[in-house]
Amino acid sequence: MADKPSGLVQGTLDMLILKTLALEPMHGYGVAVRIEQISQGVFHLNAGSLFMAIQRLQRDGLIKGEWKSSENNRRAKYYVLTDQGRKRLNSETREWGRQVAAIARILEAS
Amino acid sequence: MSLLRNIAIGLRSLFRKEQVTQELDEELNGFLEMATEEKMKQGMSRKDALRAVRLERGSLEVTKEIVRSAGWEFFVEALWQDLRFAVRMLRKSPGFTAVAVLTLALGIGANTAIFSLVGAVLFRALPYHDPDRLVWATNFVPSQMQDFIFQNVYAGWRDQSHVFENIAGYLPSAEYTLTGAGFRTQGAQVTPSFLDVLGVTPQLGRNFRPQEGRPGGGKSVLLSDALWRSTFGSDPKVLGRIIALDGTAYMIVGVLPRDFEFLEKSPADLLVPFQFGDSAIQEANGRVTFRIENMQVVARLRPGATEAAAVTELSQINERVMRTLPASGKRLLDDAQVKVFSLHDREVGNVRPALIVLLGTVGFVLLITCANVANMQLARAAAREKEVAIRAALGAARWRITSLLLIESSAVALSGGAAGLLLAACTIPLIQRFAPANIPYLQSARLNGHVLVFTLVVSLLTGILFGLAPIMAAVRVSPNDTLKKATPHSGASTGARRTQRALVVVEIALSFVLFIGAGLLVKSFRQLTAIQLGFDPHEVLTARVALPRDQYDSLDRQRTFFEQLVAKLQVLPGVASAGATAWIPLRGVTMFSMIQIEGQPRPDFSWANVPTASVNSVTPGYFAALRVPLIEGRLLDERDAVGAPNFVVVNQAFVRRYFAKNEDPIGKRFGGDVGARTEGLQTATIVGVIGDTRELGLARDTIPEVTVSALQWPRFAMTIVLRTSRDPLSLVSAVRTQVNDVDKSLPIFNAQTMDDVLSAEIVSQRFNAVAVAGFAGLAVLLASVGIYGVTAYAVTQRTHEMGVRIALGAGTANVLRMVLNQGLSLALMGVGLGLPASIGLTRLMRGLLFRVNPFDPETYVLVIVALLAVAVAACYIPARRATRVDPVVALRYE
Repeated sequence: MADKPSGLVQGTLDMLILKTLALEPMHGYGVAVRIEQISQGVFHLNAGSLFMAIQRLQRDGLIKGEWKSSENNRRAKYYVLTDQGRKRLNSETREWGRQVAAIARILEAS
Repeated sequence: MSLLRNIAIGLRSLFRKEQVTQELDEELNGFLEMATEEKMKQGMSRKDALRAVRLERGSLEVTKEIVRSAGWEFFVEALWQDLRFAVRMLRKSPGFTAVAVLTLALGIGANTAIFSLVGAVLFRALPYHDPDRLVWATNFVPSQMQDFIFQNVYAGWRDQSHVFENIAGYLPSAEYTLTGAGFRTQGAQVTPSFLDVLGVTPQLGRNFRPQEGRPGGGKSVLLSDALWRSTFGSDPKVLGRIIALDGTAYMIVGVLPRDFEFLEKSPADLLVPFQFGDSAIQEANGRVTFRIENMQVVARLRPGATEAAAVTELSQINERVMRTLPASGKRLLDDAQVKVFSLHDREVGNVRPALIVLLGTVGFVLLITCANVANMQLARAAAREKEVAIRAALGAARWRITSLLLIESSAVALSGGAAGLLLAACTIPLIQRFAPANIPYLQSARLNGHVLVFTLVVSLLTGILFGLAPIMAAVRVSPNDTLKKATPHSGASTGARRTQRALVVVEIALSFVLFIGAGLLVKSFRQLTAIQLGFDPHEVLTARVALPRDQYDSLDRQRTFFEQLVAKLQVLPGVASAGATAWIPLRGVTMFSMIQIEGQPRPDFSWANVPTASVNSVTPGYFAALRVPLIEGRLLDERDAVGAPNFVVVNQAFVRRYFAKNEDPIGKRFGGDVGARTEGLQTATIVGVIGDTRELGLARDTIPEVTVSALQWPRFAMTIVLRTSRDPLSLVSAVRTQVNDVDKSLPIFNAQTMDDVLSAEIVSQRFNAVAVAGFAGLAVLLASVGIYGVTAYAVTQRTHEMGVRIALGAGTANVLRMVLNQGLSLALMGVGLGLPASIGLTRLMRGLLFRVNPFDPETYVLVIVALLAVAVAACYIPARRATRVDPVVALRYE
């Protein structure tokens, strides 16, 4: 049952989903594909971890789901970032930047 | 916010499960379709595409499961599922369920009932302000077995003590005739500080003023709410009205609050000022007294002050006051001990040990119940081992198995609790009816919120307690070994069997302790009822008549009244003999006087050494009415009337105490306070010796007693005693008519048979004995069911072995002995464990025992024999079954 996407730092999946949805509302499959595309195949999401994260974000009120018809006329649930989700994304991005910079400094110290 | 949303979403998926599941399905199917289409665009066949997606993205079914199990509602759902499963399992074995629920209902019901009663009595706060600081104080004089409060001692305590914030004196409630209303009410005299000490404010009018507590301070009265409502129609203008109590005019100054309760567990419909000065009282006849008969003291401690500090300080004040007293007062006080009790202890203290023993008893019963149900569960667990193993093998998490079992036992326990509640609801009124009247507040016991919480907690704890054993057994189950076992009847593991037997040993030990306790109480009760009363209580009617002091202010008037009354009663149809007495035996009412026997050295002036005797006054018919035996000399009769010499009879205890063995008491003279108290010292001559009657109570020793003739020395209030030739209570109205014939304003009260007086004496002992014996019986029954169960189970388990033994030639006796030995060895271990436990525990009930040693060997032997007999009987049935095992059937079993 270990569904952790390979190579993904724990807790960053939520942030990646939020980021993806910040670009435009999207259904689950779209989110998975978008993350894979942008990461150029580094991250690969399986359905279990993706939908679990979506469920979690929904419960935390960071995203909202809505049934719409998709590009090829299929009914799909589209997720939208809420205001709260946008705020969270901003703060997490900032925090991520700080941490990455810090880690980089440590690793580059000679 | 987010918590609320989480709960809302969770609830939605709980209650609109289908819709939620459908949405998830649709979403995931969409996901699958999109991914598949993507693959097909790359040229894969649909079948290959589906396969590839599943490989890449994981199985959709697993995903559904993962997403569903993420929320908290999944946990709730699992519990709900378990609960439904548990109920289904329990319904599938109705026998087990019924027996378990019933057993638990007995245990929990007993605890609920007793807890609600004990809680009502012991944990009830007194209805006063900050009741923890209220104390009751007295000077106890051991040689007299009495409390003495002198008014100047009270004044010293009041004015000099630093430990008390406030102090009040009162007299226990007494009867007053409310003239005009035509009935007698209970009233109490209290010092003006009384309500302040208790922290009570009248709902109407005012409290007593300080000057009303001094002699001549005016007659005012406070009404109880009940009296105000019933007799004065809740009239708010009642203040200032004048009422007559025993012929004296009192002005109503206030009405007590509705929830007011007087002390001493006795009702008081009115309070009047208790008026006395700070120094000696000069009585009309010139006698000087210090003591206020019956006076009680209640006080409020300063915050932080202790009862021990109060004792020290009051003793010092006693010493200071004593120096100012004349010799006769000094000698009273030198022997006195200051006693200070918390008011709560004073009000309920004497019943506490009995209630605690009762609470412990039902606690034991509950433990036995737990052990029994645990045993039944274990036997079931053995049968279900396979089920558990399969669940584990299929990947059920350990916590799911544990929670399933726990839920099962909780369901059983809660059902047992509910049934127990029902049982308690039926039992409480029953206990209230048969419990002794001297347990305060018992009648207020109800199944209230506290009791419900108690029952719930006890039920759940019980469920966990008896659920533990099967859980441990289940957790130990190894799927591999269990499923490999060939026979379906292989039964419990050795570990579980050992637990079962240990539980039975504990059960027997517990019921042994209860059995011993019950045995001791029953023996006490038998001792009590075997006591020589010294009179014949059957077919005797008693009733009290009290004369108003203002109308019957001379001995002559009192004497005439009782002479006339007794003469009228004597000729009533159905009356064999009639008499009047200052008090009847057993009630604990007496009046001690100092005496000085002629020809014996005058003792020093200290109460400890002064001869004393209780002085009763009776009309001649009294002896025949109660059948008090004459030992030697003569009884008092019509000759001992006014003007005749002062002849008295004494009891055997008097003779034993004050005369040498070979001395003839007849004709001996003594001085003392023998006649009516107001007449001062008299010299009396002994003309007869009567048998001892138990004045102070059944369980108390006899006391030296002098009986004077009421024809010479009558009292204001006397008890009429009639020996009847028919049902005594049928004569009550005739007696009332006769009393009213002599004085139509006089009521009679406390009309009761002497048998009732007697049973009031033994009712608490009987209640203790019956209650504990009942619970012990229940415990023994449960324990024997336990032994039976374990033995029967063992026999079933060993059917194969028995078959082999019988096939090899073992006789019936052999098999029987083998099974019985097994049960008996458990019983012996239980007794071995219970013996030291009961020696430790029965010491705690020493105070409840009467003339029985807590280590009474007779009881111990009897209980051991009885318990072993019960154990053998319980094993006998399965043992018989073992002997009937048909070897052919048994061996073919596999």
